[in-house]
Amino acid sequence: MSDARDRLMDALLRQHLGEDSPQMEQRYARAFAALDAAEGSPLRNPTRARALRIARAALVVLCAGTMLLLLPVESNAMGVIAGAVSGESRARGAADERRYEVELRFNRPAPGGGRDRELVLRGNWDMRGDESRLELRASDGPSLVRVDARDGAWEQREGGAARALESSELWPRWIEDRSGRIAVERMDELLRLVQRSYDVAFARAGEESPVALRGSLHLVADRRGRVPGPSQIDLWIDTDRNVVLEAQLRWLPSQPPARGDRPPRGAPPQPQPPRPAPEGDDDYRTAPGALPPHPPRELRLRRIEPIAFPADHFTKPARSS
Amino acid sequence: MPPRITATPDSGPPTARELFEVLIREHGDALLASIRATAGPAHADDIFQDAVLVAWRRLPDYDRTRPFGPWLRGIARMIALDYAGKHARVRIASPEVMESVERDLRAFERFAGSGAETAMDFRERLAALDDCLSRLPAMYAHAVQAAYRDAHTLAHIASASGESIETIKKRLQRARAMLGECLGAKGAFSEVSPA
Repeated sequence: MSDARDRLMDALLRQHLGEDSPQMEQRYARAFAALDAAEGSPLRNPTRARALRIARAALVVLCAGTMLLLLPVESNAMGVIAGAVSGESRARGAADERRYEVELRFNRPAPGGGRDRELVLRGNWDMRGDESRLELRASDGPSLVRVDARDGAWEQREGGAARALESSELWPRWIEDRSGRIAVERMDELLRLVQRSYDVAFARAGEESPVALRGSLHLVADRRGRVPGPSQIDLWIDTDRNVVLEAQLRWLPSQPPARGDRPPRGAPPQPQPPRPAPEGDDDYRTAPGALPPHPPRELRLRRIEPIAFPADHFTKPARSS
Repeated sequence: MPPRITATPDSGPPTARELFEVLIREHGDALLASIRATAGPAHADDIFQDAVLVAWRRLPDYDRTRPFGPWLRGIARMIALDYAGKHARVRIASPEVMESVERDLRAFERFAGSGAETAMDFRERLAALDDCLSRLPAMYAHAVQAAYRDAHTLAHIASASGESIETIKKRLQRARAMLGECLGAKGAFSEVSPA
């Protein structure tokens, strides 16, 4: 069979066996919400509501109308996400300068099998267009700067010389999407991941937001399926400007294996399967030292405004190895 | 065929945006199939969303005497090419393959099915696949259901069946070929030899 027909049959099978009407409805909802966001249009004119209803009646033969009734809350939340995708993508494209205060919490196994200790890293994540600069410090350690700039990637430990990094894929891939592994260094990419792989809803009453974030819209995203990635993502979005003010990503401990999967009591330990190799150049392990290859328990990004970086903020220092 | 949208007398004419949404829903399934076939599944949702956005902005350029679906898919192909330049995971097809996929999709849109009732939309036309699936030998049918319905990876299917990944890959490829021939025999695809 030709390559063309093989590709087409693959696409048709994905659609026919792997998807249902609600998934297509979500896709439409996201696309139309993105239109609203891109146009900057306010809520639709109520005088047009009747005409809209009648126009949509023609769609009864085209889609499961009941799905529209089942999805309004999520569609609205997805609309907010789509608006933020548009806003963050625009900021990235326009090379706007952004700073996120970042906090990472890891569970570090204690030697001797005692209780895990918590490792907390804090710092700033700065972005300008496609350039990013992460500066992190543990409470008892030196700071470390890692930069992915137009002129190349580099890192510098406190008191040391800056050294060039060979790979532009600097960050550990803690999130595995259906389309591959991604990092967390791009807010628009993170939001697109939420669009693709998470169920999104407005936070329930009683889930109080931090004082600094009151007035923003709090969304809660739960991951569909059990592939690696944050189990939950909380987003606080300024809907006037379509920007994310804060994102909290939480990786819950993995579930124990199902009963049938457990080895019998007393059986010798089974060898662990080798860790799959990263794809292509996306190998964080070749540049170890900044962040553990395993995901943290929690990652928090909080936008700091206003911010203005010096012109050489992403430039590698002249005295370097 | 040109879009067929009618307004009821008491509602006033639908707005351009309302008509556009109707058209997108009418052609969304074929658009998604085209994107997946020409650019792979990795960024299909992103390309779909961008295609809708660009089509809306370029709607004034759309020639209403021409069919909407191919115009929309043409926009998506341009966006997919742009994505391919930026993302390594986009498996972009050659121009010949793109043309062949579009030819088959146009034939599929004209396909009326073989049932007593005329097939109306893309999803209903896809139902012809069920008949073809039921004719697959069990070994191939199991592989297709595991890969597409249950979304298992090749490695998982291979591990479960005790066969190699390459064997499963070949089996799926053969299954797709048989399904393609079956749909072709029903008149769902173009008769021109594809690329």
